[in-house]
Amino acid sequence: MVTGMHTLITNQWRTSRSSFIGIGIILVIAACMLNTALTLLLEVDRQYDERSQQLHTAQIVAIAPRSAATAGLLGDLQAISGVAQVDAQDAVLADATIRDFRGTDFTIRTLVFNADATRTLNRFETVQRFEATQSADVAVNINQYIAQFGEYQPGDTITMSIDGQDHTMRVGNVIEEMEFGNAGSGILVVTMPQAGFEAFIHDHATQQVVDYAIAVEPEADISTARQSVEQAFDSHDVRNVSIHDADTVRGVRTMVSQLIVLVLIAFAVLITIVSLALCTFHIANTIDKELATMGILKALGYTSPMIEHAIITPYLITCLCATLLGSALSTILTPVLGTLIALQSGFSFHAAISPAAWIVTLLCLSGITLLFATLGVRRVRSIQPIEAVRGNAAGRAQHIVWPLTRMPGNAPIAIALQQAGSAPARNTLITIITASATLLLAFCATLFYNATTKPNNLYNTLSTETPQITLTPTAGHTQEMADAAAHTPGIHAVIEYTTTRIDLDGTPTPTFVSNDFSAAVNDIHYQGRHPRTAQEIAIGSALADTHPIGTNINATLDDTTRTYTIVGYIQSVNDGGTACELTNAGYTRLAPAFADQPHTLYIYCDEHNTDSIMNTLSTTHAAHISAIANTQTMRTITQQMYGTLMAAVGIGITAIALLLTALALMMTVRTTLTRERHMHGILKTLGYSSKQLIGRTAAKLLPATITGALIGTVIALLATEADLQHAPRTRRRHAQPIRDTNSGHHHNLAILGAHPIHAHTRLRHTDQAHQPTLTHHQRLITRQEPTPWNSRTSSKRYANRRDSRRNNSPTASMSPVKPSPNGRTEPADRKLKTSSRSPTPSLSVWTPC
Amino acid sequence: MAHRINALHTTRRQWHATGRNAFHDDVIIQAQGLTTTISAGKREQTVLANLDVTIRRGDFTVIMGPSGAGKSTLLYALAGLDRPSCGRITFAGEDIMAMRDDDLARFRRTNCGFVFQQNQLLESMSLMDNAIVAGALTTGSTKTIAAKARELFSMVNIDEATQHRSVSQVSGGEAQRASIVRALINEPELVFADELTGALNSQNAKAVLDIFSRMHERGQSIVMVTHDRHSALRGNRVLYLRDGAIQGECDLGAHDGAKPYGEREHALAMFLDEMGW
Repeated sequence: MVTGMHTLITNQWRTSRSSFIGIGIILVIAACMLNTALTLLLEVDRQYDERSQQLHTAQIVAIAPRSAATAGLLGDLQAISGVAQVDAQDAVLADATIRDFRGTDFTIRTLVFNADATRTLNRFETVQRFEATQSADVAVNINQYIAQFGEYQPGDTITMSIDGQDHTMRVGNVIEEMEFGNAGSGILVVTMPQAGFEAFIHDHATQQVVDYAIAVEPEADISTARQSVEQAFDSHDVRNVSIHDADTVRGVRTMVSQLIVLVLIAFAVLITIVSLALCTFHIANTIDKELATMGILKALGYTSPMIEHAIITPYLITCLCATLLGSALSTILTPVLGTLIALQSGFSFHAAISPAAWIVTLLCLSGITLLFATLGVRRVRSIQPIEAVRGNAAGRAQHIVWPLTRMPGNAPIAIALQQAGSAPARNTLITIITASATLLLAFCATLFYNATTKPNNLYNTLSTETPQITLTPTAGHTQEMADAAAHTPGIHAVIEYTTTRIDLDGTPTPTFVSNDFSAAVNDIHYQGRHPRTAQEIAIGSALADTHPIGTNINATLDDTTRTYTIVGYIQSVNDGGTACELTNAGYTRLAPAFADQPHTLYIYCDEHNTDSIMNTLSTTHAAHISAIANTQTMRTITQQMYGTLMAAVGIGITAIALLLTALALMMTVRTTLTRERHMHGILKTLGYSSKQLIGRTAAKLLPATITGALIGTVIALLATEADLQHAPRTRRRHAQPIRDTNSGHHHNLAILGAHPIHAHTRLRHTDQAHQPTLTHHQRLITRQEPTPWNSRTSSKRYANRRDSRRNNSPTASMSPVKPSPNGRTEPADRKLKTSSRSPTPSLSVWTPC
Repeated sequence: MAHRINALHTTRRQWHATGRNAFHDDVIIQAQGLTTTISAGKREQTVLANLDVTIRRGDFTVIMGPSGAGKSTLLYALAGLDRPSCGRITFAGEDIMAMRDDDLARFRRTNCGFVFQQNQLLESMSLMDNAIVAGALTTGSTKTIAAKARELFSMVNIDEATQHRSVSQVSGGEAQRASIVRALINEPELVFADELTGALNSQNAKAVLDIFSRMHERGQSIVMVTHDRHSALRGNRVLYLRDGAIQGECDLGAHDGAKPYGEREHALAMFLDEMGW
């Protein structure tokens, strides 16, 4: 019997070898993707946790002004239930502009530590060491993120500008720290040797802070401990404290890896479905083809289970071999993705083989294949020996479609139509294959178009308002600079745009302040409208579900609370939908001093004119410019990076989709031809030529193919339409309105928006030829800098070619920004406590995802 | 070497309305030096051995012989379904050995009709649709083909309802008669039949043979392979094949001719005895 079974299995393999190979190739691809996804899923978190443990990363970090750091505060923090340890370190927290960071100025909140201080928590590890023993320059140890993204090596020179003071230093070591890691939290860490650190503190005494690293006991709840920490600070009247927790930081840093995992799993599932459909189809055809053989086997004494095992075994062996091969191939793909993840997340991730991923992949694919194959061979049980020999399977009725005399068209068309409808299973399979392929291709085409042909679309989706140039005027010269810029040749538009932070219903919320959002180029509102008056607010999608348009919401800044009417919803990918918009007048209700501050100007011009216009402005109006930055370069760099990545993803998926489609269709056609070989022989005998039979076969498959393509197209269009509601638009002079929708916005996939297609579907409202190109995303950091304000506020939009709608508000005039005794720190975490009402709209942070 | 037994005088038959020449002088197929060898492992087996044969228009030619003589091989070679290893076949003035496969297919459309032992109808279609599929090769209009098919179905005694049943829903005799309709739908020069009654009971076999006789009376040229004497008697010319060569030929005269049935049977019997049947 064993020999007989072996013979059957071998015969099965021999007669259908090409089909098994085809199914195997598809499963290899599925296994490769699935294994990669599972490896990343298991390894990223594991290595992240491992690294955090190695570096004794604290669960909670609180950064408070040095002046507020008392022994009593420390004691209270240590006494909190659930707190295991507190490590307080002196530091300087300041907005630092790194000059010539890959050709542009990169501004980010920077935390500077003493490299030689003893640390029990949040330790650093040197990953690249500077070998020189002596250096006349002040050395700074930079973190991996700055080193990799800015392409710095130990020994390079780096210039950081803080408060207008340039610090040119030699890069010492490259360190890894797990407290912040990348720029996602808005803060990057650097360290300096003792001497250098002391000098640095002396230069920036007003920005000195204490970094409280708080370790929570394993059994304690982090959120409860965090609340206690906040209360402790409150009890000591420390309001300028920035609190982060490790979970939030982790979420930001592992966002890309989670997205990659999601995409890979989705494709692996799709590919597996195609392979299973093929497998089932092939089994059904095998049974039909070998009906007589099975009848004879049964007549000889073979049982149904034995025949089923003979049919299933080759599929199972194919699946096992393909899965192992695919998993082996994933060991090549995973490190490539691992490099990207390491760069983005800012921690040392090394892609390693995960035995668990291999086992899960093997069990999943084999188990599913076995299940479908078992379901497919159940028909064998109903075969009666004598009827099978006669060619009539028990219970299987002849499938007769419409008679030819009732079919439309002439005889050849009637025959083609009849044959097209004669095999529902085959038609269903082809429809599924072509629909899936169409969906994949639509996704890839959209991705490719938006990432490479129209790169601004992708960039604008990931960012908020981004001009070519940002200019911070000196106090009292906002209007003058705005007028000057507006009349400078080459400049298309000038607007006031400020980024700050307020509390919305108790949640720290990034806030975009402008007097005329209609002039903003990257229109991020998707429902309702932008605020126009001082009483109006537009909120982010994260609050949309609980705050309908037309209702009121409370906004708080320091001790001031004001009520605003919600007039619209905005998207903010970087902030996960947690954002809002206020007019200048609206924000002034919370921070009256804002009216007198210098307001950052966003200047729009042609990309290639950016440098020359910057030079013109800097030369002509140097006395009235506090800061000026070329943000176009960073935009270009980011576009190139993400554009290359997306293009590679799009091309890769397209290639895989085409390969799978071709493979699947080829197998289906082969199976069909094998099944209909007898019929084709008869037709040839009658006089049909080979060409006619080929055309007939193609015509038979055409309706299902067209149907599948149409279904895939419709689904792609529907998905695109739905997500257009949430996609930020790039405004033209005559932008089209967006449809209203009540659908919510999913902000989990913060990088590309709710859906992959969503992020790249803004094209219809984009006219790159008419709009100024945008520079990289800037988020202005709120900084507490008490300065004498004038009573005048400035809320003007300056357009080169349109009538300015100037209100009669007085312009702001203020002295250069000075630090205050109650320094206000960057609220990089959820809870922001500030005691100042003056956002300083001068410095900007680009936060790549 | 052919050994012609002319036991009966040749009967001049009157053709019916087909308008064709009544005499048998027209040659449809001329085959010379046909040889077919097949490889069976390391051995080569000769199926047809340098065979010459002529098929005349208007004849009902029957090929008989023992099993393995090469009857079906010869039939398929003459019909262009199989290619001999060497030789020459001229069919309706065309050298079919020189044709490519698709040319042969086009040639078969209007020149050949086939009726097999196992009807070989398309099982997923009705009897009518089987006829239309064949007719579509020469006529574009479904209605025209269907009208023609109905006429032929009527000739073979298949009613309207049965015409629209699937192959699996009709009897063996009905299916075989339907295959005759399919063979005649394009008015071929020659109808080839391989063991026409091999899978039929006697009643159905007689019915089918009666149809063939009527076809012949109407002027249809037929070549039939059989090992059944009763079937052979329907023809007017019998070729005896053995060991890949034609051993003898018997002219039986017309089936419905002047000779009584018994004389023809006797003549055939004598011929077959002489051939060693």
